[in-house]
Amino acid sequence: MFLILLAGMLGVPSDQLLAARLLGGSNWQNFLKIILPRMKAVIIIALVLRAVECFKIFDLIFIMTKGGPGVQTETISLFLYKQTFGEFEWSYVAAIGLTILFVLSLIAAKGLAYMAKKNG
Amino acid sequence: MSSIQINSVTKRFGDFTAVDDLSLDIQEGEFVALLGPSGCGKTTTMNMIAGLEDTSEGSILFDGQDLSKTRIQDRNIGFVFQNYAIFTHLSVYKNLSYGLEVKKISKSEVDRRVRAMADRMSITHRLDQPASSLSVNEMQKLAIGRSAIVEPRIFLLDEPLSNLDAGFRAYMRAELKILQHEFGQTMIYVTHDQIEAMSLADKIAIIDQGKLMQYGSPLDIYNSPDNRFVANFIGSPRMNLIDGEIREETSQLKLMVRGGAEIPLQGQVKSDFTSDGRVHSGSFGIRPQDIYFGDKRSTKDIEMHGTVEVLERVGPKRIVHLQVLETSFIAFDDQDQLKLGDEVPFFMPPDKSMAFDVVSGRRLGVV
Repeated sequence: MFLILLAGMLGVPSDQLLAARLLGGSNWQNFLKIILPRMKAVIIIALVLRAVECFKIFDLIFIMTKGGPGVQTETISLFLYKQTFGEFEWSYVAAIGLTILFVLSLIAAKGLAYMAKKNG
Repeated sequence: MSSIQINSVTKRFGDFTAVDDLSLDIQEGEFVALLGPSGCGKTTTMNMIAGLEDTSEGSILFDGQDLSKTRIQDRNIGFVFQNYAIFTHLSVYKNLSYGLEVKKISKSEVDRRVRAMADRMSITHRLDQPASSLSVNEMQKLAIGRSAIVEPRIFLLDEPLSNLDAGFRAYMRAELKILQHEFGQTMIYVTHDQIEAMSLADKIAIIDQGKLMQYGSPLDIYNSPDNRFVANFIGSPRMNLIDGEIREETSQLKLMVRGGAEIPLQGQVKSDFTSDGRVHSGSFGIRPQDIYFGDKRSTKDIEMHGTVEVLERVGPKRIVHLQVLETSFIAFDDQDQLKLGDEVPFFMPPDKSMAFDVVSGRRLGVV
């Protein structure tokens, strides 16, 4: 995540930053108006990767807390596991699986459409 | 608007000296071109004036004030980059308003000034469009407008016309001259194109290998170059510069050129060559348009004979390459009177000829 953002920040053309400084912009103003907007695409990519990871994460939590205390650290994948091999609620799990697929497809389609529009 | 004094400025990068003891005095409202071949230190000089680079030695004063401790943001210097450095993620309007918005100027005032500047630069119809959609020519106008709108104390332009097509470059040259007149700004313009420098600048500073070669008005530099480098650099086609040994034979002073050609020295140029008795290797210079054919106009004119080797058509005139043994002279044939292979006499007025010392490159005989 850090590396992606750093790469994005270094990708801002240095002459544009210089031009912004010569026009009188303070470092904070230049960061908000020049660097941050130019990093938008990179920030979105970093967030998407993080979001995908959230759906996937299982092993670490399973080993460390098993979702506890209570259900405080129970993620969707852990919940699915518990429902499948703890409760044997096959149909319930299948329904959740399909819902997740549907929701993620919708988000992905929106994301693709946004990117296609951006690229003209 | 400011005057600028550059006092003995030196810039080193490790062992390499990019700018060497450079001094310039730029008056308020003057348009000065820094002209020189690529890598001569002119952009480094400009960066030091803008504060993008520190000086290794010497000082740069704006109206007598040293700004070396002032942050770049507070210097109020307009800078047009070679590649324009347009904020391509913003609209044209936002590009123009940037320098005003960061200074917390009221919205209505920003709007008024942005629209006035867009109108001045003829990009009003583009205001709401993304800056990335502009053509190179419009980007150029936007870059100048964006710097001019904050009313900087000086304006620095780093080869701003080098990316433009030939037609628009000529138009923009004229436009820049008008803009400078309108803004009344002190402008410093970096270029390697002598035509731009000659047509735009009030004064030209010619730099070579980090050293100032000559500083003066375009006409001064053209008519009276201080040294061999300037003589060779300014003018198209270039000045004829013939190197040789100065010798006296049968009471006639001659420049003996390698390959056997001899230039008899007479009149003004003769006294120039003899003005410094220690100089034995000289360089004889004459501009192509000062060489003439036909009847001798004055008995003092230097007469030589050469063979017409090449004829190049440039509009109504032709450029003639005359071969005298192994030495080549370039002249103009404006009457279409010469033919290839002709052996013709040609004449060089001594008062239009120049004398240089080959070793030091300095002009001889000029006080």
